[in-house]
Amino acid sequence: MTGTWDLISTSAYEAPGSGTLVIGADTLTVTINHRSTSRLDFYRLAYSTQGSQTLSWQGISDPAIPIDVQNTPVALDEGSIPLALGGSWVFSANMVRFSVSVGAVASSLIVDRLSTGTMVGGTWPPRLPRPRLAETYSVSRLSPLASQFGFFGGQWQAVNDKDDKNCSITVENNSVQFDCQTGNAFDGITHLTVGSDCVVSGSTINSGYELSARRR
Amino acid sequence: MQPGRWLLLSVTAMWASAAVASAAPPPPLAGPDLSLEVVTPERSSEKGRTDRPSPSGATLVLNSLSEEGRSKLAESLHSLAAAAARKRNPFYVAIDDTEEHAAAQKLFAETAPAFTAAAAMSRGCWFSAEGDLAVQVVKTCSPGSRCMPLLSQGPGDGFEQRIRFLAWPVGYAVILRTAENDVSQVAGVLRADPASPQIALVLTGVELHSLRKGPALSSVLKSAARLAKKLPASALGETLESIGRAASVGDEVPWLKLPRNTVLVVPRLGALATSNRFVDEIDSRLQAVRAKVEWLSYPRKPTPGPK
Repeated sequence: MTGTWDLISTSAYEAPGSGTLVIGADTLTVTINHRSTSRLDFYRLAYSTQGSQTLSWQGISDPAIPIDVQNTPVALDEGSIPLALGGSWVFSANMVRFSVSVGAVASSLIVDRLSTGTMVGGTWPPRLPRPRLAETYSVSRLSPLASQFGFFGGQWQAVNDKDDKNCSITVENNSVQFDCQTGNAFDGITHLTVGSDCVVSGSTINSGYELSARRR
Repeated sequence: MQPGRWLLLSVTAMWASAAVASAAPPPPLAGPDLSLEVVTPERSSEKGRTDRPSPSGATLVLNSLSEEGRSKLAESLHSLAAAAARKRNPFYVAIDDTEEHAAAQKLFAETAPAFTAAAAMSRGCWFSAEGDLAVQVVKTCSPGSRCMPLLSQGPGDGFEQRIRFLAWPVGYAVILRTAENDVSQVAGVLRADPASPQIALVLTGVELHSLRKGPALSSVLKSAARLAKKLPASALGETLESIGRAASVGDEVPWLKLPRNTVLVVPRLGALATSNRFVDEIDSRLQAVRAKVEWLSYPRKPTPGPK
């Protein structure tokens, strides 16, 4: 999947989006534009391990927010995903810290408040489920399945430790399916398929969100 | 020169000319004479009209529904409008909204991909994310511009694939041709499943440009307009308003002139990676019609054999 990808999205709720994804062994940059007749909204997530590890998030006309990254890597067979994701990660920004571990047979995400400050609005990437403070999210593999994503192939269950919101995730062959009861934009069934000609497409049924990506 | 060498040279020349002939580009497809033109955004036809709202595509969505689909949409909108009216009644106590919520969600899930595809198609000009490329459908390409036929029978080279991806509502579409008397029948079988995970829109050459009359149309327009007035300002409300206004909206895709005997099938954006399933679904549904159907344009060939 290494390379530069064109991204296109449509939603029942906003103007069509276009963007680019650059992914490689040491870089991940996602840029999304929402162009309407009156404005152009712009978002960028940029991660690089070239030199030191850097991660930043930029939304609309705001300056980029640097996110501190600490990583203890663990080797994983990730199939066609070029970026090394295995290991324990800590992301810190705006007085919020996200601890993530990826590997073994489970993954988890813990969100901690570093001080009495509050999370700055608009800094969490839109469309992604917003983790809530002081909650632990666990993603456990119930059974392995053959997949082009190596270790990530399987039937997974994602839960948090505070309520009954959950996701069932199936990663098999060239497809990923999320079936979530989360009460947000991610609620419902989301399909993602990697085509044979390097086109990735998917849709979220409940929110009418559709996307496709094509490697240049 | 010895006769044997003449023969050898002649055979070699014939083989060479045959090889050249087979390497030459195939003749243009007989069909709508339209092209995809790649221009810089400054030269695109969208320049100068960016302050105008893009067409909603509501006419295209309504035309893509069968009469049965229109009736179901009208019923859903009518019952949702009735539910919204009940909730404005101060004596109304909600006991169980589950059924209405489920009906609204089903309606939304079935129609949202068609609306988003129709809105994307109605723009008529599609940009790369960096803004350095704009693609539009034209009758005649400007001198010096990069140009490719709208009709395609296969993926093409890397640049062409990228251009067709950016202009996905037409670039990944299937265009079929049949006898004029059979167009409605062909479009009808392709509209059989409004919840198709592959197909977003099915439109005949005529339906691209004017709202199709039908027994359920008036009911859909009235119910949509009525429900839109009861809802707070929202994207859903805007969509309903656009349905309610569909009868007074002009041609939303004047640049896409296809013959009357053609059917355009637009995929869902979320199905571009599975274009083999998209064309196979069309091919499978066409098995139910006796009409002779010619595939003028497609992102890839249907898989041979029974579906």
